Amino acid sequence: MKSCEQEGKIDAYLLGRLSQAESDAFEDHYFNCPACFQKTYARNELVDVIKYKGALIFAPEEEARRTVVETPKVSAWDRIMAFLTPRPWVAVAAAAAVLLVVIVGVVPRSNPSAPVFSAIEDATVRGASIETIDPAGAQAQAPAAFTWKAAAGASEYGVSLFKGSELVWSGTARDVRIALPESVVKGFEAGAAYAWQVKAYSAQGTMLSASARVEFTLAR
Amino acid sequence: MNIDLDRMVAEFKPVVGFKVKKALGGGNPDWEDVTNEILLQVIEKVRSGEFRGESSIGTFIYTVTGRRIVDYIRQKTRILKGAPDAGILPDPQEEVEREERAKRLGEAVRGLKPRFRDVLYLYFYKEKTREEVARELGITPAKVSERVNYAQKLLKKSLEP
Repeated sequence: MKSCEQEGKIDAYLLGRLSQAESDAFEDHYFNCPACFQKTYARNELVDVIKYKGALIFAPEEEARRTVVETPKVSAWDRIMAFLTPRPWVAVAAAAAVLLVVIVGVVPRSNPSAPVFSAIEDATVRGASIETIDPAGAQAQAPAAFTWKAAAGASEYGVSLFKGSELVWSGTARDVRIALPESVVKGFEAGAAYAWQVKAYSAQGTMLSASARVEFTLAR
Repeated sequence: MNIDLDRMVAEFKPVVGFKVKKALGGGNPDWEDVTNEILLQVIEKVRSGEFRGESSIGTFIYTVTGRRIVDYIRQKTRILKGAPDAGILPDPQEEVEREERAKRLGEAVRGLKPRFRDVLYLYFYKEKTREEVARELGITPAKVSERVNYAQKLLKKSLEP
């Protein structure tokens, strides 16, 4: 089918992004252009299904976004209220803090410091943990990819990159390696502290396991 | 004006039907009657010489379609103002067929590889722009379009009997 320069407007028309005048002009066009009409008709079927059944179709993506992407968008007020709301784990945290003080007081300070890992909720709650391979610790240059060991039953992995505690990028992979986009690699800042984490998902989109959030820094 | 009317109807019926359905809403069974009325009006206007070829036949039919849709909406509004409408019931057979096809298409989208599903999710479901999707996935905007188009080809193939 011969392509037409108006084809680029199909999605904007179907998604309601055209002004009334533009929309009228595009409709007039597809009444005169069988190629554009065929493409608009076919694309409309897909858009309709995604619009009306998307919640069901994209349930795994929605779940992943709730846990990965949307977390940093919590407003400052919500954070304050969340902080002030009493939670059951506060008592556990207080007990852990007392225990930590006791341990720190007893363990000799001459021991070399261990690599810093921060166990996050997913890793501790779900028990199963993914073993990460690279990068970790001090890095001479910006990493171009992340690698980890395969998790049993995993169909897909979701990888998140954090600068400090802020999510800066996330992506998915079928394999145990993900290459970072060039824009991300170029965006790494020397001396800054980064962390990354990988989560494994089943074919149905259920999260199976997660790695700890592994920290790394780039040499200045 | 010498126009093959049968051919014209065959060519424009799907286009007029699509526009009418979009304007009236997919679940409104009146779309088919309105579409037929429009095509009859067009035939009448061509026969009577009202269509003089000053514009293309497509633009002429588009104009007639737009006017009839406006009339239909006005008429419905008047009816609704006077007394409650008996309610619009979609054709059950057509509903079942449409629902079945939509279900199969939905399953096919779910079965796509994540790199295609992610693009459809962000672009059509989350209604992000091509550039926003590109940024989020770390690919170029052209690649976004390419994946959407390829996904559509895969879906079409999966729906073929």
